Amino acid sequence: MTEQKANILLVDDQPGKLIAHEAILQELGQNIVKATNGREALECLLKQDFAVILLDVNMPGMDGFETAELIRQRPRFEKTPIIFITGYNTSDIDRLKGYRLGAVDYMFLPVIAEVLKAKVSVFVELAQQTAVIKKQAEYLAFHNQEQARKLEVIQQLNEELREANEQLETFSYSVSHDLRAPLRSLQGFSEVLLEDYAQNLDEDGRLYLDRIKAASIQMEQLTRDLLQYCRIAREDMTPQAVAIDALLKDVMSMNNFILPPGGQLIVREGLSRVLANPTLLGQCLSNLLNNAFKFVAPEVVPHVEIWTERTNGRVRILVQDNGIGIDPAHHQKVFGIFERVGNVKQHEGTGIGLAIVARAAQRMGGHCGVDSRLGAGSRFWIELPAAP
Amino acid sequence: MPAQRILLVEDLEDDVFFFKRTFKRAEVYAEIEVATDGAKAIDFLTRHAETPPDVIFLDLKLPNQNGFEVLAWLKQNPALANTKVYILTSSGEPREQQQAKEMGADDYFVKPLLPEQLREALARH
Repeated sequence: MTEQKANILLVDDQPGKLIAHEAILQELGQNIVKATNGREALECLLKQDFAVILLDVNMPGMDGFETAELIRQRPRFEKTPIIFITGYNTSDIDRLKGYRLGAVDYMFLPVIAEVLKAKVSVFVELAQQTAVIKKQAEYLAFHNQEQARKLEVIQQLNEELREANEQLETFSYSVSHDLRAPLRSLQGFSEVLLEDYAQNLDEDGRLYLDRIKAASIQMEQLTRDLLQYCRIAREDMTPQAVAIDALLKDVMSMNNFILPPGGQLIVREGLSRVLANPTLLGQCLSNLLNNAFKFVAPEVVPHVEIWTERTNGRVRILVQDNGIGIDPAHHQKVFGIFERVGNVKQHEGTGIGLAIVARAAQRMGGHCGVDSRLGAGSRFWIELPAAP
Repeated sequence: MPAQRILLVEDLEDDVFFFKRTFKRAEVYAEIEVATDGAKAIDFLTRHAETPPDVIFLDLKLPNQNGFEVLAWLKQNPALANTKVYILTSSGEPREQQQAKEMGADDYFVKPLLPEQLREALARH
């Protein structure tokens, strides 16, 4: 904060003295205002605040004491320092009167330049410090107000977020319970028809039925994947120390994960532990493994390997396959929702699996990526904070 | 294995059909009673308190009373201490699975129930 110039009021009926005192005080570099009588002094006071008033006692009409009395009557100037300047032998009684009226000091004529400067500069400094403190108080008050306003905005946003989450919850509930029921009927009855009535249909009829069944399965997968994607936002994100090998065992048993004939999954020894949400990380690993075993050339026996690498408090979980690989031009794209690249006819999918991995990794304070070339297999990785 | 007595609490006609068909496909013979909502299930179990079913398959989304409310009633009924309660529902929401587990459900299946899942579940009784 730059210091503002302080105002100094000089009140004297003799122009010569005014000029002399002004000349002495000029060196302080402050703003000097002059008045030649008490009334003028009061008018000046109405216009601005003063750091100090130098008041001549002996003036015709309203003298210095009377002027001081009037000044003090206004609450605004109750504390403005007044230095009386007096030319002749002032009695102790008079001086006492001056102090009673609020004088902070007396100076006798002729004034000694150095003493006048020193005394006035003390009050100038005081006034400047007071101004700084006042400004700081105003700033703080403003800041507090701003803070309170921001808090209000945050509370409102939180409320909106809570409502949005509630709606998402309702939506997910409805999708997972209500939308899936008719789908199940579609899928179930097309299966019943295929199992019990296939012989009554010609080849075309069976083909159409197969298509109905495939479409209902596809839609069931889509709703399931979308629900999982939505669930990421709602999961509790308190990180836990997760042992990856144990989690992998759960994933394999829970999802009825079936290795293709001859397929191999190698989990290396001594995997590092990570800080994560086990449900989400399980979901990520399950999706990565599914892809690793799915996107394989027809004549190739799938071979997948999992290990971890530790650097600077982070753990990278790597899933290496010997699949068809991904063109580096598509590496970013594969993590987007509904994105599918390569020969999409050959491999079924919803285009959500890797979007789930990317979003879940991000929500767990990590990130993911892929190293791959067409025909050279893929190495997907998730990087997460290491467990202590 | 003697024929088991089973109560299915399920409001959707199609799902009742698929449930019964799963028994056929698994070649499991059982007496299947169906209650189409929670109140009817509770009413049936109250009337047959002396001869409770061996296994109850309970849907979670039911009219009037939801499956969790029915589950709470089942779990505090001493007559059903030896009856297995399996949740059979549309939703694979982990939170619902967790809640069912905490409330004492013996297992949780997402529809449709597969023949091998059925055989395995009944073998546990």
